[in-house]
Formats: sequence, C-alpha cells, structure tokens
Amino acid sequence: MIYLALFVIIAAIATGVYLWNKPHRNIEKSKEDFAISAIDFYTEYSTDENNSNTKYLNKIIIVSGIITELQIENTEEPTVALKTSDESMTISCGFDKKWINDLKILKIGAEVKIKGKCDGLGMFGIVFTKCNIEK
Amino acid sequence: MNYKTITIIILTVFLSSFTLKTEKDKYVAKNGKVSFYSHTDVEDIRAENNKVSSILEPKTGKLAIELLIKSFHFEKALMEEHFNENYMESDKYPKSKFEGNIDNINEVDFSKNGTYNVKISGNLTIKDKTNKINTTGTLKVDGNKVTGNTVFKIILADYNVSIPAMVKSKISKEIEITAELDYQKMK
Repeated sequence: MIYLALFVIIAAIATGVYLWNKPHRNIEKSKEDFAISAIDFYTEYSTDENNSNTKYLNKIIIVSGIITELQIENTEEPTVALKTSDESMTISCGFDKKWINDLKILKIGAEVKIKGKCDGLGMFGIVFTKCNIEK
Repeated sequence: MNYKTITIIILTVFLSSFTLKTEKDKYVAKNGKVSFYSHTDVEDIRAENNKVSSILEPKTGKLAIELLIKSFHFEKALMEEHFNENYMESDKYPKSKFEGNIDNINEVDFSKNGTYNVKISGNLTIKDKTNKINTTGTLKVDGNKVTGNTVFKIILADYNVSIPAMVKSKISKEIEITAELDYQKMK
C-alpha cells in the first residue's frame, strides 16, 4: 500500500516536472499544415478574416514569396517581410535570433520559403512567429 | 467658366491636397515591442511581443497600436499555452488594440531632436472588453525616427481575464505593461 502511494506521488511529481519544463513546439521539425504563396495567402486571409482565423491560426505554414522588408540586426526578433498583392501589407515573419546566419544572406527582391506559426492579421498584414528558412 | 465652376475646382484641388498631405504625414512602427510583467512572491512572469504595429499622426496626436496575442513569447512553453488557451482565449480574440491620442502633441516638435514627455489617453481593448487608459510616456525624436515609450498597469479582472484559484498565488491581479515603439516617418 505504502509502495503504491509512493509510486503515485513520484509519478505525479515527475509529470509536474515534465509539464513545467515541457519544451516549446519544434516548428522547424514539424510537418507543415499548409504550403501557400504569400500573395494567395494574403488575398484569402484579407477576404475573410474570421474564417481564415479558424483555418490558419496557430497552424504551421510554409509561405513562399518575394522579400520586401528586412530587419535582421539590432533587434530581439529578426523579421523578414514578404510581398502581397497590397502594397501596404506584408506577411511579416519573426525569427529567433539563433537563425541570424541564415537571415544575414537574404536580399530584398529575392524569393524565399519561410516556415512558421500563423498569429493572425494585423494592421500591416499577416504576422508569423517562430519562423525558420525552408531550404 | 462661371464663378461656380471655378469655386468647385479650387475647392476640390484645395481639399484633395489637404487629404494627401495629412495622409502622407504619419509615423509607422511595424516591429514594436510590448512586454508584460506579473510579480507575486511565488513567481515572476514575463512575456514579450516584438511584432507590434502602430500609427502615430504628428499633426493630430492620434495614436493607434495593435498586436496579436499569439505573438507573445514566454520562457516556459506551458505558460505560453495557458496564456493563449485559458486566459486570453487567443483563438477567439486574436488581437488587442489601443486607440487614442497624445493629448499634448502640440508640445512635441517633430523637427527638433530631443525627448518629450507626453500624456496618453484612449481605449484599450483586450478580449471583448474595452477600458479607458490614462498614462504618461516619452517620445524621442531623432531625425526621421521617433521612439515611443510608456509603462502602465492594468487590472486583469477589468478585461475578463479570470485566474483559476489553483494558480491565484502565482499570477498578479495587476500586470505591468511596457511598450517601446520605433517609428519611421512615412513618405
């Protein structure tokens, strides 16, 4: 009986410790839910934001497009923004700093494939975070 | 051409140049930073969002800030999960926004470098709740760049964020919010 109780307690503590230290979702190694071009993605999202939220929020998406803005250095979260059909809107992708070497070589006007998590539609377009460059 | 036509032409030209001018004259921040901090004796919780958008109109002082809840980063994956799923319900309420004014915008000289103290007031929407916010901050003018800073506190219950009894000791009722927005002048 004592052993059983002890076992339950240890299992509970182990589960607690595991949950507490549970790692962040590894987006880089996960299979994507969708793969789409930046232009088509923005068009679909902006046409019906509510339905797109249901379909895409928190999903892992590979988006391909042309780089229109870069903010790589002197920032907590380097950003690569992709062109859409609307000049004032982009797909803005935030990266962890560990990817800095992959990002430094990027050029405005070049084509790129980015995998990341979709956070929704903001003032200046769609926002992705936890991104990496798909090679 | 009679008088009436001329008046209409002049008026149209005048009005369109006016709208063009006000439209042109604004400051935009696309990768601003908002972080929050919750302190209790048991635990300190911090999260950061580096994808904050904002538009500031220097003529009128009109200020709009918007962020996506899912762009907040936490150190612990579990905290991030609870924050999104339980407290903020970010699938249902993906964004949060502030719409208001810099009340003393006439005291800020955008053509002169320096740090100006500002008074900010407006409406903050988190989830489905909107409340009035009054705070102070600074605007630092450096050529075409302007950096806005502010720190203020909100009470979670004001925004329908309910903390379960089990974790009440870990999450403060009052949360400190810090914003740092780097604006670029738009041409």
